[in-house]
Amino acid sequence: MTPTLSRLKAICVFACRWCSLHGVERAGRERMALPPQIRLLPVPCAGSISADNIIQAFANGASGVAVLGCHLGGCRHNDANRDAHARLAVLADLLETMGLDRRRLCLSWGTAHEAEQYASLMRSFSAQLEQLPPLPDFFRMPKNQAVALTAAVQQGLGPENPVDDATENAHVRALAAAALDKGRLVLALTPAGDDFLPELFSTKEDLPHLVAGSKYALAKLVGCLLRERAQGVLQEFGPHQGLRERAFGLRTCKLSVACRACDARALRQMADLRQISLQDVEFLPLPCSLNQQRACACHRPQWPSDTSLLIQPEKGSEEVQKRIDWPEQLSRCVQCHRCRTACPVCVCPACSLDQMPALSYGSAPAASPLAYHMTRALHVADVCVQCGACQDACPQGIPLLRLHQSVASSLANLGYCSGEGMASPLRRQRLKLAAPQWQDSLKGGTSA
Amino acid sequence: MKLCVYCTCMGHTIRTLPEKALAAALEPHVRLVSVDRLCHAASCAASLSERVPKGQTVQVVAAACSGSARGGMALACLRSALPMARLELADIREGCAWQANTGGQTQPEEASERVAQAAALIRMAFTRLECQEPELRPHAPGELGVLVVGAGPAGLAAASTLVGLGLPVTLADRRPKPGGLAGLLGKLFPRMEQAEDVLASLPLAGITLRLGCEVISLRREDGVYVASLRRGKEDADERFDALILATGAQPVLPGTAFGAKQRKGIISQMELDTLLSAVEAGRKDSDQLAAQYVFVQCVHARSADKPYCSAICCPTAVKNALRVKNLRPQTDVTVVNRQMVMPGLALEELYAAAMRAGVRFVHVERLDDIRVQGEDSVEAVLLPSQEGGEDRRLDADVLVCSTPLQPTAASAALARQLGLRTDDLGFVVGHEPSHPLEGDAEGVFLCGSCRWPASVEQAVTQGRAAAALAARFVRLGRMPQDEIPDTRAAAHIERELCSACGRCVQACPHGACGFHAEGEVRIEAALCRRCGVCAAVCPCEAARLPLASPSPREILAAIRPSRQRSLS
Amino acid sequence: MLCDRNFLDDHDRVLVVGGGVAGMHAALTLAALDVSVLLVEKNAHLGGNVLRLDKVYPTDHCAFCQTWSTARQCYDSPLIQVLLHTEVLGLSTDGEGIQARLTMRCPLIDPSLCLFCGACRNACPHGALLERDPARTWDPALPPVMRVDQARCNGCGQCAQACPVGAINLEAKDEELIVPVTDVIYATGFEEPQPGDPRHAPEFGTGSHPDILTAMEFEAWQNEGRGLGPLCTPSGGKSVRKVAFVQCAGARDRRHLPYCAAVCCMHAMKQARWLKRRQPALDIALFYTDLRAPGAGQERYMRAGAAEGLRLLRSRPGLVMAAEQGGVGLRYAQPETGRPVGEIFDLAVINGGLGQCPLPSSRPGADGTPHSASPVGVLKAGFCDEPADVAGSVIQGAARAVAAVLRRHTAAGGGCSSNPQSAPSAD
Repeated sequence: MTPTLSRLKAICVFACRWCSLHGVERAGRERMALPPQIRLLPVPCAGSISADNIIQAFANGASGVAVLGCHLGGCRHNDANRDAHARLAVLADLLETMGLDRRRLCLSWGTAHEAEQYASLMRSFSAQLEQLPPLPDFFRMPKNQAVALTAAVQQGLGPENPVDDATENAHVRALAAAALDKGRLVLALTPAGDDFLPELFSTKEDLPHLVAGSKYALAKLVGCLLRERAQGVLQEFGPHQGLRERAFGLRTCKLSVACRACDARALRQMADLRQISLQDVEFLPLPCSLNQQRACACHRPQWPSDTSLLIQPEKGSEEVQKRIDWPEQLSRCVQCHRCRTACPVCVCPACSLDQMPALSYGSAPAASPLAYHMTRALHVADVCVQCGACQDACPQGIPLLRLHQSVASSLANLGYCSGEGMASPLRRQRLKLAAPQWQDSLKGGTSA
Repeated sequence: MKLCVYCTCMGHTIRTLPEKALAAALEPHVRLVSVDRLCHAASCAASLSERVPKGQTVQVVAAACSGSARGGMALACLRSALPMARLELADIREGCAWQANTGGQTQPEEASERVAQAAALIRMAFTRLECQEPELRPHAPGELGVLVVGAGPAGLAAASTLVGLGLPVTLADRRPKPGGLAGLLGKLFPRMEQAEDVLASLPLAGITLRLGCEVISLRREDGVYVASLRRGKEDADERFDALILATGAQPVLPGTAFGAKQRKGIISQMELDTLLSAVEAGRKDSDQLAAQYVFVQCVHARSADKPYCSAICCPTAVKNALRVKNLRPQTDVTVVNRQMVMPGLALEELYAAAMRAGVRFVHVERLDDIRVQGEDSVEAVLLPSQEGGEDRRLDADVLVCSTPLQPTAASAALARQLGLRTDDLGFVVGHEPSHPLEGDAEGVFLCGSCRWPASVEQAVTQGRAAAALAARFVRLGRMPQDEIPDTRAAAHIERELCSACGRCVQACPHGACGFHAEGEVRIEAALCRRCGVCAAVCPCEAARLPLASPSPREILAAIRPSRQRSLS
Repeated sequence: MLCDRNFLDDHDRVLVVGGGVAGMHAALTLAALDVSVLLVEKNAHLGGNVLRLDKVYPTDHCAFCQTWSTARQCYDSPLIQVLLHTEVLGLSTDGEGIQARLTMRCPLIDPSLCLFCGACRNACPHGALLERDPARTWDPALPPVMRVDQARCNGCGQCAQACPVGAINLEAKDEELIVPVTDVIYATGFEEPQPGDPRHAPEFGTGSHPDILTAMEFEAWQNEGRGLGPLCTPSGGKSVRKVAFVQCAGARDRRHLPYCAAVCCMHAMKQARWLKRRQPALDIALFYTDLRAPGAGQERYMRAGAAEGLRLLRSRPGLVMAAEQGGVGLRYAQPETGRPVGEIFDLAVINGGLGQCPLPSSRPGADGTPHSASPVGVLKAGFCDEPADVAGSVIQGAARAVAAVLRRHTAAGGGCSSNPQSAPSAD
């Protein structure tokens, strides 16, 4: 159409076959002019489109992705498209965070009538894509470049000034003593050289060795411990083998865990995911000092409570988000996947990201860290509790917590906050019949 | 071998998509064969038989028009020409060639883009062929028969119809006698037949009867339904191909409305019906009828706790008013209503007949303002006036409350066991409005008042229709509402990949995913509607619906220009 | 499957008249029970009036995808032969079976041949060949066949020469066919009586002014204007602020239609709610006699409408006409006081005049009692039997089909012990 056409690559159009596809077919049938970059991919329902599909499309070089579903409220599959809408809105925010313009993702909810609307939407979408700067070879990352970068880039984001405050220690020892009196075991930190290690305390004599320590991600360990005991199978490998073996040998395991808010959230979320039972577990809450909060760049130092605590994004945090050049940061990723191993809410027996079939397939670039981290962030979008375990585990010091915080703030816009037992807006229980709630987004497509 | 059969549509698509350019844009090992008119069997067979080697397994993509045009015919012609091939359609006419600017000459840039687009569409079709499942085996019609739960008019009609269609039928009812609520009635609206005549026209011959037999549970096992039936103290399991729920509803009783506990003369329409039947049959004298009747509509209906119109109460009231007038013309009958719900031809006629017979209809805006006079028995009904003046007084000997039907807890419980939805009142929900008698679970059909209050006539119609649908299901093995052009298998869980995190259980819009014993997640095939939401929310690809969303390969084929061997 | 005039094979078949939801479900039920069906539809596509609806109450789902998939099943079934553009003139019986006399408007372009390639359109000097139907039909449902706009065609025949497959025959004439059938199911549905029809009530002004629309006209207007900015009146593009929905117009009226059409209260409520969603500031008044919402979920739908700020007025307007000062004037009795008042609206939607489509044997000239004269095996389903909504029509379609099958079984002496009522009468 226009001479600059060649700049545009494929536009993937995912269309629900019940409604939108009729409109699309009718547009073709009536010979409406449409951009030649369109690649139509029919789906059984907009709800069946996962963020993975769209990241795959972008990672393979698509200039834009459009998702067409039925009207919100008119879905044949009990409103499954509303969830898709929520999921894709989160994805759009993430694209923006990553430095990919959110206008590259177009969401539209229409019906079979709307051939003209479809055609004009596609024309304006492709015109809009033309306006955007050319898509950088965003997901392609030469391996050697990543390896050449070292772990030295800390940018002051790692833990600093480990707190060994006497009052904090006294506080946690008092709590631990009370728990021991009740016949419980206490899991807490003990000094080990310059660092700390988790330890099981069963007698008061050992209490002087118990310290509050700086932040130490305990949730994964406690989760493994509980699950292994429940299943009666001790895994061969894993962090803290010795401690887990000892705990496994114990007759009862009523645990009191001296931990911080993030770990408590993580454990509750694991329980929500039905991985563990917190029946025999109590928390000995360790408050985080201001230093600690700064060190973690934590948005949620509060302890989980029954009242839902929505994330209050820190003032200026948006600028912080903007400042992070994610492609640059993630170029340091060596794909050791320690972030995933450390993550307490990564509970899948086998991770689909190990293969990244879309990205390592055929002529596509080898698995790109950007696609990996984006997909992972969205897989755990509504279960991530921003504990920072991934960031602590990263040998390259990539500030991954920031990434998850940005996803969490998109979910906070939907009124959701993880680790609080809330129903996720990305997968609502829909079996009750509600009065139809209509949302008419007819006025052209909404850019997500 | 990969073959792309390119339909030039009598030379029309070829103008935008030259054969040579298209062949160059495809992988070298894909053979491109062009035909003039792929949707025309004779020409298609003639040109293909020469060019395709015999006896090879081939993957064939028909590059032709869209499925809504003649794409289906093109595939059918190809199937007859190449019976062994696996086929897939790529819509390059409506989906590509026709989208070119129609204004005038296609510009060279666009022409090459169009060729690229067509090539991508063809490549995408090949990837779909690669991940296509093997052909599903044809459905074997079931021989276990159909269980009809509930022997009211709907259930009787369904069962007798199924017998007529030659299917084994079992009819179960808690009560020892068939007939349901209709068995308690005298005349029926709108045609004023006797209920027993209507029931007698639904013969029991040929039905396996399980009367006095409670259905304790219904569940799905190995693709069939298993019903636990309890007769007396004995439980027995029986197996069926399909179920028809005709569990009916129950009338709401007037209860304490208008002080019915302290006052005499406040009865329900059912009680009046019994009296009228007795008088009509000559068992009682017409003097037993009162001199002044006031009917009050919508008692316990369309209220805050029962926010629905039960549809049958207005016609029942009009019917009984007419019967009273027929038996004892000097009796006054007044029907106090918020609105008379008498839709349709026959009911309007009945309504008009009642007015002709002298039945009075009085409209009120709100029921709460109605008061009843009289200490021990009803003397009068006071209606508030509209303009704040005097109350309107209606003398009455008997106040008849028209109450709605409400769902039974038992039918809601059975529905829930099967995974059917019930509305918040407890009525079982079908697929309104286009497939109202089809439940959410495969092979379960609804009829009669368990889905919504129905007259006897409607119940019989629904019973017949449900029987037809059940027969259709037993024969074809799929629900009419699915009308899936490709009968795909239901979604399933790869057990070793599943962490039982419950994401799919929450997200499934049809309640097909659920936790089973030992915390395992399973997908009930009968409830799966093939939407693919479970696969979309599963982070580790444990929940799968083959061919639901585009495979990564297809997405790749859509975007990347073809390269050598990238698809091999 | 879609067939042309050469379909005649000698199967025992059931004739289903009308390709709306009732007829389609009857046909599909018969086909599923291994009975051959001849499905006759007077319009250019299956789907009937429901396809013309945008949304259906009470779920507010699109009517199209559900109805269209049913239609597609009819087209796909090998046991269902679909004859479009065909009407039934009458039935006669020789005691054995029924002879149906059909008339078929032969399309100028043979749908079984047309490739929809557009060669004819390019060849036509008058622009008389169209991809769309020149009449305002619901396009997506039409089979992909080119159409001739008779108003522009001068019969020069250049299109016929250009057609690569010889599908065009401008000399095609209507044809009459006589087909033997075993049973007949009428599912002819409803129509809105036009001016001149005795069932049409002239005092409501439909047909007299572009801003006074019938419900189905309004549906089409609403569909066309969807998503395209603020609503403007059909007459002059004035923006719409006040809309009146008038119920029971001509219905429940001995002079016109003596019955309640059962679907219009909910239908009007649906249209009103949709308007309100599009433009929340609209002032919408709905005049009713009895607001009837007896079906599943319907009462709640009504209440939601009332809660959204629709004005519900229990009153029967006596006169609707174009006002001198512009707009549409309504005269009605105020519900509270009973005083007659006048009010000006920008748009009036007249609802309720849904007439049952006349059946062949009751066309003018016949004695008006279709059933007494009809041979055994003639059934009615859907609106033409008893006013019914989509759900009711679907149920009736299947029920009548199964009644026809059972009748055949008994007639054939095949192991049927029951004695199904052959013709549930509608009177």
